[in-house]
Amino acid sequence: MTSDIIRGHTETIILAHLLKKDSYGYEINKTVKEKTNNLYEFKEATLYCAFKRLEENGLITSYWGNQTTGARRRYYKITEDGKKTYERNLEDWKQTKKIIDKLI
Amino acid sequence: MDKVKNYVEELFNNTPKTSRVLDLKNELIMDLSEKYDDLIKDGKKESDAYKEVISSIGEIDELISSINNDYIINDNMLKTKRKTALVVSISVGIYILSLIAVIVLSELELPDYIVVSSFFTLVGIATCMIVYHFMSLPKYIKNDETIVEEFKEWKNKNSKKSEIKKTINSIIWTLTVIIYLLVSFSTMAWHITWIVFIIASLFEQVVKLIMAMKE
Repeated sequence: MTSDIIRGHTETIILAHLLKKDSYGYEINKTVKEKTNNLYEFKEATLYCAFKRLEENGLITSYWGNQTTGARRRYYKITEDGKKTYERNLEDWKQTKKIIDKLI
Repeated sequence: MDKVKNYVEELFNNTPKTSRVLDLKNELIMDLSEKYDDLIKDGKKESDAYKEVISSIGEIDELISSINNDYIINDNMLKTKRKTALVVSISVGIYILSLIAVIVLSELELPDYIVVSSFFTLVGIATCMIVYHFMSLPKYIKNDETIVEEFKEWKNKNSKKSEIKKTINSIIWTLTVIIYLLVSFSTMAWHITWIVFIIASLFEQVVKLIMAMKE
């Protein structure tokens, strides 16, 4: 399985997850793994690079969560710009999929 | 589990200890520990779980170096800021001292030329310090494209502004010298006309303030 194509959509996948609820790195990755039946999961470095870029571009923000058990975690939250970007990326992907399906 | 933590600590060994880097390190340790625990819960052997966790980190070097770059620029700017603050405050101190010197030396009834020349020496030292500092500000060159672009933009804007400021300053001081000579020669009140320079200095500060407030 070529992961390059998936990696190109890392940010959109993160945004999609954050649309449902605020979350942290490992939780997002765990969901990715579960949803794909263990077929795919991100490398930590890929995930954090994406977080950094998303935050710099104002698509997500982060805050320290209050966890009663264990250590405090950094949670990520999607912004309004992030939601717009997600919608746009989703449309792009639908178009791309249509085209690729016709061509190969 | 401590093995995972140690591994991450080692990865971050040569990185600057900024809050951002520490945050990232802690985040990574927490995520990987949770992953490790989950793998153990799933019945994996400790050594296998450790291997899987480590291999899941991926290419972290790029991320660390990008944070390093941010840090180097910020650090340089911070140092420059501190140095600027120091130079400016010392210079202002010398300016004030020069006025005190004039008063004290006049009270001691020393000849005017000593009073005036000590005043100009002190003012000259302070001015030289400021000019030297701002002329010798370091240039920032960094690999990160976006930061470089931002910085160039910022620097261009600033150099345009400082160009205007320099021109205004030279106009003020040339005018001051002309007024000083004109007034002094027409009134022959050389003992008091030097006050023009203090007024000019004040005027210069006021102009600076107005420009800063307009920004």
